[in-house]
Formats: sequence, structure tokens, C-alpha cells
Amino acid sequence: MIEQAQSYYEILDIPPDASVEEIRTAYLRVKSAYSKDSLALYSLMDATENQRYIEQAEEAYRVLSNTEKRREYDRHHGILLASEDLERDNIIHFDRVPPMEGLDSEDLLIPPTTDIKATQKQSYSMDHWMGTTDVTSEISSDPIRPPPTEPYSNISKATINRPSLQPETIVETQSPSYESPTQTQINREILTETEFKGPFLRKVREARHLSIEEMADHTKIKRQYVRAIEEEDFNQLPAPVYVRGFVIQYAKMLRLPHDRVSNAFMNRYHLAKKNKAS
Amino acid sequence: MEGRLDFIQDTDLETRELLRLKGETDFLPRAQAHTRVRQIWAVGGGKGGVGKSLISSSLAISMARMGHKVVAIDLDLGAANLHTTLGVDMPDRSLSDFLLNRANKLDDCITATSIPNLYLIAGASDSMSVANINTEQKQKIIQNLRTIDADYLLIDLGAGTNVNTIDFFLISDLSLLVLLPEPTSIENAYRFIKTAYFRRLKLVPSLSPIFPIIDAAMDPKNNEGIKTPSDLFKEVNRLHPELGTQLKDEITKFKPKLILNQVRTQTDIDIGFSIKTVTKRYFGIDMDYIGYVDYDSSAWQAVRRKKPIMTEFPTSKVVSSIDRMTQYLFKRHGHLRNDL
Repeated sequence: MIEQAQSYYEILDIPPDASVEEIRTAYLRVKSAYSKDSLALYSLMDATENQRYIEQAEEAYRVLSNTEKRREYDRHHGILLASEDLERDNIIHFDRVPPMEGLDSEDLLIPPTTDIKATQKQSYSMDHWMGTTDVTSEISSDPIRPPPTEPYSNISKATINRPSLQPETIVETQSPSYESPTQTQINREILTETEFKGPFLRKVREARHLSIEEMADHTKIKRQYVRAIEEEDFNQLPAPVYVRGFVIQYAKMLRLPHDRVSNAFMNRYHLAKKNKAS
Repeated sequence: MEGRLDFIQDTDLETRELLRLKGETDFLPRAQAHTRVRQIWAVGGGKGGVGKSLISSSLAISMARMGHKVVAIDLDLGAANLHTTLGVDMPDRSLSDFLLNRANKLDDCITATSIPNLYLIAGASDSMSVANINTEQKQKIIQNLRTIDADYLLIDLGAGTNVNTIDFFLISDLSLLVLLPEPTSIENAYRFIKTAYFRRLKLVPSLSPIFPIIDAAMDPKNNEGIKTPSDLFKEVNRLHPELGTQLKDEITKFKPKLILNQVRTQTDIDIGFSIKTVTKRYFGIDMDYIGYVDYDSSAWQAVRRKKPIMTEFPTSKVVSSIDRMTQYLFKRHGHLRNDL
């Protein structure tokens, strides 16, 4: 870039409303482009310049990857308008939800379908993953071919044998060289998916290269709940109002249509509770 | 100093023609508003042998198959061989006929190919080369390109960074850059981008106060210590702060598209992303990485047979990659006018 003073967002070449996933991808991209043996630098950049830039990118990532530090940075640099700030708070920050008891949380009682702004954002994000948005998004989703693949985290045998699994989520265990479905494939599956059961959510999470820990970290949902959602272990989950909020957070994090995901999940949740009661 | 002034005037004159024909300026009424040609696509890349002609001909075939009338033009004047990659014997008519006034219109130089909808203007077969055509001849080509009876023109450019080649690249609506994941090709591609980049800036008359700074930046051993576009920008902001924003605007208008050819591994593919990242930082330009073509021996087999790979090996991965790129370009950048 040409400017002298750059914001962290400019250094990583991402929009100020970039998701955690986008920030991560951008950082890895910069690291790889400026690594010592990168061919892309040949004849253009000198070593000191590269080193300086890598350090800048690391600093930018250190701050932006941390929700608290990022918020502070944004406020300090006036990056978010008040309305945007509110919107982001509404979407990401679950830590303001009171503990399990008490039902006075306004945030959670807002039905997801009325969250028009977030829905628009969501459809933009879907476009983004499908590689159909504008130039800025192209790097994370190759328009012509699927992006680089990475080894799939192993799906435990227990999960695979669960009878509730959809056929397409069953993974060939015989072949150890199995690679993750690429983002493009996953996005295609998301488009046709209707049930969004736990194992499917898990599959998407792994395709997005997020660990349970990272998910818990960014959404402020306890790890045990993340696991319970993915295993559809309804007994381990708290009161419906919280569960709904968790699932929405979870789905937004993965750029899934959160209203559909949460509705489907809550239907199963209530059904399970009802069966148990009767 | 006098020489420099001449150059500015010369550039000024060309600008009016070049950018007006492209429809990019608003300071002059757009000429030939009812031209038949919807878009000009140009394929360049700096280094020779990176597959420009092969990719040009394949894209042209792909576009024609999608139902557009396409004329492929070989502007690699000294080393024309687009006709060979299209499976056409050296035609009787070529661009030289037009340049030497043996033909009145570019339309008269067109040769049909075996592919429906696809036509060819072959490169010169005589001693004429792109480096030695003069400014009038270049202007003559540029001014007449959009009068050709076709939906799309596809220009195959020669290797090197000759000013004529660069200008043909710049007057196109869509500039495609082909390179290989190899240091030599990357080096030449960067030189090509750099040359086109500065040339592009010098085609804007209102930036004329900063032309001396641009000239300095183009000379790697300049006294002002301007080494990178970023230095140029700082210098402009220091001396002519009023032009800083405009300079930035002009830079963002320059958006070449990147195609990586002959990739063998995922690492090769990723080089395209890295190049995009690095050019964004170094030049401040958004280069769209539109796709890559796998290394495939059917490419040279097709050349041996003097036939297009698109028709000889319809199932090869090259063909599907090219088709996807064409679709993408039509969708993203194609001219959607339906009034013709």
C-alpha cells in the first residue's frame, strides 16, 4: 500500500468488519507471501523491507485476533461508527449474557428473524465463501478452483457410528490421507443442508479450521456446551433461551444461516425434552 | 528538458485518443459511442514462452463457443504465431496490409477460423515488428480497433516491455497478465507491471505537474532516491499535495488480472496469491488473481499438431480451467450491454 501510516486492517488488507476467520486467513497469507523463500518477492522487495513488514503483520494479528484488544484498538482509532459498534456487540459479545439463572436478558429474547441487518450480513458472507463477491474477498476463496486443502482433523469413531448421521457426513476412515472437504465443497453442502445437525456443524467448524477451544474463545460459549451442541447432547445444555443464543453465536461464527440453524436445532431440542418428559 | 516537454505533449495527445476510446475520461465526449465492439481483452506477460499465445487462443475459442463473435488479434508483430495456435495456416491477409495501406479497414484483414464465431487478424509476416512501428501506425491500430465487426476483441501481445506493447495493454478494457511460477517469469512480470503502471500515470494530462517525478521513478538510478511507488507517492505528497488523491485514484484504476500458467503443485498455485499480496503492498494496486492453468503435456502435443488444445484435447484440465476463467470474466467484468 501507498500510505505511510497504515491501520492494522490495511496492513492485513482486510475490511474493518472482517471476521476472526478472515483475519486469520489474511495473516497466514501475508506470512506466506513474505516468507524468506517466497518467489513472489523476487526482484521486487529487499530483505529488510520484508522483515519490517512481517513484524507489522504480526503486531496487527496479535491485536486483531484478540477480541478485547481489537475492540480497544477500534475505539482508539475511531474505526467503528457507533451503530456498527452496537451491531458488532450484538453479534459477537456473548459475555454480557448473565449466568444461567435469570431470564432477563434482552439480547437473547430478540428473535433471530428480526435481525435484518445480521441477515443481510450473513448473505453477504455466504457470497463471500462462495467466491462471488467483489475483488477484496478473492484471496480467501479462489474463484476458479477450490482453495488449498489442509488435513482434516480426525472425526472420532464414536461420532461416525452415530445413527443420526446424515450419509454425506460419514467419513471414510480407511484412508488416512483423507483431506478436508475444501471450503467450496463445504459451501455447496451448506446450501443444500436443511437439518444442520450437530455432526454437520462440527464438520463445518473443522473445514473452517477452528478448534473447539478457538470456538469457545471467540463466542464465549463454554467448551462443554460447544461439544454438547455438536454431539446433540441436549441434557448437557442449559435452558432453551441460552441454547438458542449459543447456537446463533456458533452459526454466525461459521457463517451459516443462523436463523435456520437455530430453528432446526431448537426443534430437535424441544422434541428431545418432550420425549424425555413423557 | 525540451525533449521531456515534447514527450509530455506527445503523451497528452495520445491520452485523449487512448482513454477516450476506452471511455474512461469525461473531459471529452466519448468518440464512436456506437461502436460494435463491446470489450477489448489483452493478454500480456513480459516474458516470452510463458504461454500467452496458447492462453489467448484458448480464451478466444472459449469466448466464441459461449456465443460471442470474437476476433483474435496478433499484436506480437515481430514473432506472430497466434494463427498456429488457432490451427490456421499463415493467412494471406494480415495486419501489415492495414499498416501499409494495402487494406482500408481492419475488417478487411480478418481471416475465418475453423471455429464458428471466431475470426483472426494475423500478425505481420514481414519485417515489421512491434518495436519498430511508429506512433502513427500505433494510433491507427488503436483508433480502428473498436470499429471491427465483433463483440469481443482478444489481443495477443508480444514479450517485452516495449512502449507499443504496453500501450495496447493499457487501452484494453481487461488486461490479463500471464506468468509462470518461476523467478524469471516473475521478474519480467514485475518489470512489465512497473512499466505499465508508470506509463498509465503518464497518460493522465492533469497529472502533468508530477511527470518529472514519475520520470525519475522510472529511472532506477535517479538522484531523488525514489525507488518504489511508495517513495513516488511520498514525493508527490511533499511537492504537489493537491495531486495526491488524484494519483491514488488513477492507481486504483489500473487493475491487471493475473493468470498463472503451468502450475504443478499447490505451492505453485499459492504463488499467485502471494504475488497479489505483494503487488498490493508495493504498487498499491488490486490485481485480481483470476485463475491458473495446470501444467499439461497435451498443451505441447497440441502445438506439435498445430491445432488448438481446446479442440484437440477437449477433456484436458486446461480446457476446463480456461472455460471457468472465461465464465468468471464474463460474469465479473463482461460487458452486459444488451442494446446491441
